Amino acid sequence: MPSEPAAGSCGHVDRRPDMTTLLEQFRRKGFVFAVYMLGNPDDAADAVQDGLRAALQHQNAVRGARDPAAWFFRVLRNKCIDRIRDRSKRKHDELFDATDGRRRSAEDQLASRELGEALRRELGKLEPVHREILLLRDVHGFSYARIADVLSIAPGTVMSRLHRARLTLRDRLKDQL
Amino acid sequence: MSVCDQIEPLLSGYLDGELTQQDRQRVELHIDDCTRCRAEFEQLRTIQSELGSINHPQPTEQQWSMMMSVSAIRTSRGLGWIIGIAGLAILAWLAISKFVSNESVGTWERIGIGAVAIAGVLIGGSVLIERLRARKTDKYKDVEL
Repeated sequence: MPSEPAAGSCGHVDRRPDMTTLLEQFRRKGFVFAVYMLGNPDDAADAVQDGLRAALQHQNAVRGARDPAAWFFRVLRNKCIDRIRDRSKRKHDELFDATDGRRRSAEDQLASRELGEALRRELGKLEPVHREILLLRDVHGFSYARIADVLSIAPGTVMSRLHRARLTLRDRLKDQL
Repeated sequence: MSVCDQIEPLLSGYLDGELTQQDRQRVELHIDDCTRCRAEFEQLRTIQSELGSINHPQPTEQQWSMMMSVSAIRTSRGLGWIIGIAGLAILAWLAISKFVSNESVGTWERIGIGAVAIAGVLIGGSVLIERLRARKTDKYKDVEL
């Protein structure tokens, strides 16, 4: 399980995180989140760019935030939702078809690779509410409290929604498990 | 409601270490005895482990640099403004010092030219400040006609 990233700020002015470092972290983590949410790497890069622009425009809010990463993911999630609402119909399949071939490596264990590929494919097909919560928890390692913060939901809702998302994914991957 | 029905919704919380001590103990005791719930827990654990370890899609070089260009553009623009303003200040200082030390220009001419220059700076500055204020509060600045 991935470890949870450090919150990054303790509130003291002199110890506020450096903006360049934050932007670099946001860019790396944000792309994986956005690419699964939008199903297309170009759209994902656009959404991350919008998110980074917002972070630059609100530098004081970001650097002074209790949890800068949660701040950024909240913004990025909204950018992704805007795109999902607005864009013309695009298929998720192009992302997963285009990237799977590039990532294949000879050393991978066959079974694990098949499961991994199936996971990527099925993750991209989940309902956005299930996809986003799985990404935040199992890919980015956010705690339930941070997830509640990013998604603006009650902490108690996180566990039940996450469990439903995992069960849905489990049901679709039954043959590989 | 069976014990399995009560425990099953807690499996994800148990997997993530987010349960209270009491609930964690309940789950542990149950999955030690219940084959079905233990199997479900193992499946969830496999999914979580795989999700954390698979290679996720990465951006191309072009997408990578495009994402960061927003800060590069901002930085270079800021730097451009600073260098430009510094250059203008140096030129203005040189022009003023030459003008003041030039003995071929009469006193009244100096006063007249100086007044015109000061008036230009004041009027230009006020227009600039007004424009900047309007830009900040203009709701329609991003509207394309």
